[in-house]
Amino acid sequence: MRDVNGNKNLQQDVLQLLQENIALKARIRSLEDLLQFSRGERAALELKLKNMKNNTHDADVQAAKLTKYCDELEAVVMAATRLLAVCDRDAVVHAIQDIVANLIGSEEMALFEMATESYEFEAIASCGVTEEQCKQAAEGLVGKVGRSGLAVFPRSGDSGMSACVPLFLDQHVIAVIAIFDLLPQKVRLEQPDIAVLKYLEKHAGKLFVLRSRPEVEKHI
Amino acid sequence: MKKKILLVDDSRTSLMMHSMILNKHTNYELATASDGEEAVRKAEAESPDLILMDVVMPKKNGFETCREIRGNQKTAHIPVILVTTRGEEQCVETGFESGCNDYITKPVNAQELVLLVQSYLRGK
Repeated sequence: MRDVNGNKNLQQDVLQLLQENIALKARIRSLEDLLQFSRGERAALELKLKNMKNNTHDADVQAAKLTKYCDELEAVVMAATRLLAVCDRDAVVHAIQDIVANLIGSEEMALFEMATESYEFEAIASCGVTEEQCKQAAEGLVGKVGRSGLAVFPRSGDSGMSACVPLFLDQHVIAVIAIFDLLPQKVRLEQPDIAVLKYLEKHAGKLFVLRSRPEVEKHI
Repeated sequence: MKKKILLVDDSRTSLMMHSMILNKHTNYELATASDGEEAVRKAEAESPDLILMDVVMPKKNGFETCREIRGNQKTAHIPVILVTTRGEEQCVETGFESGCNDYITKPVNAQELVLLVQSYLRGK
């Protein structure tokens, strides 16, 4: 009698275990489904995040580009405002020196003008450089830039210059700005400096002539 | 009340550049002087909260002007930042001997200038 009861209990236990096993398997299946779904969700979210990061990076790049452009524009506006406020030739020369010293960052520069008879470039204003340096520059890079009409921004120190920029009146070079060493704390010319020099290249020459000959300006 | 900065420089380009930077990034009132003598007069008359001053100027250079500002009871308390093209140590030493609080080198970096100015004016 006791054996029969024992067997019954055992059968019931086995049955219960089988049922629990089935239930657990079903639970595992549903958890596996859930896991798979979650993995899919995670992959989708990761993709979304990656896209967002890419978009943010693009926006950052765009913002950096715009900031750089604004810096250039600001520098050019300052140079233009300074230059256009002057009323005579000496003031134009002084304004160019002021722009080079305080906006670009060099206290060693010279302004060369083409002599009408000899077509040679002669220094008409300079600061921080010797007459000999000016003479050598006129015979070297300044003359070359004057003839070619192409601005030069030497990277190596061979020429002793950081920039040599022609000033145009219409299509003719009438003067050349030579910038020798930059200030010690200024490592190199930056993009806004180049933008300012390009502005001077295009407009300072015209102003140079107009402010020298007010009658021409009146006529224009 | 807006805090006031007195900008002192004989270079119009510098004055314009510093004004542009400070107007763009801060809300301070700006006054200008183009030489040392005018700076001393304006420092006394306008009592700015800070003076940003060039070193190489006609009539009275930045060091002399700074000494005079420090020697005047009415202006002695005003912080002075010198703006110099000469980053050499000796020049900086002379600046501190003349009583300046700080210095910054030309051509100024906009962010550096704003941070320096704010560090003197934030607590005031």
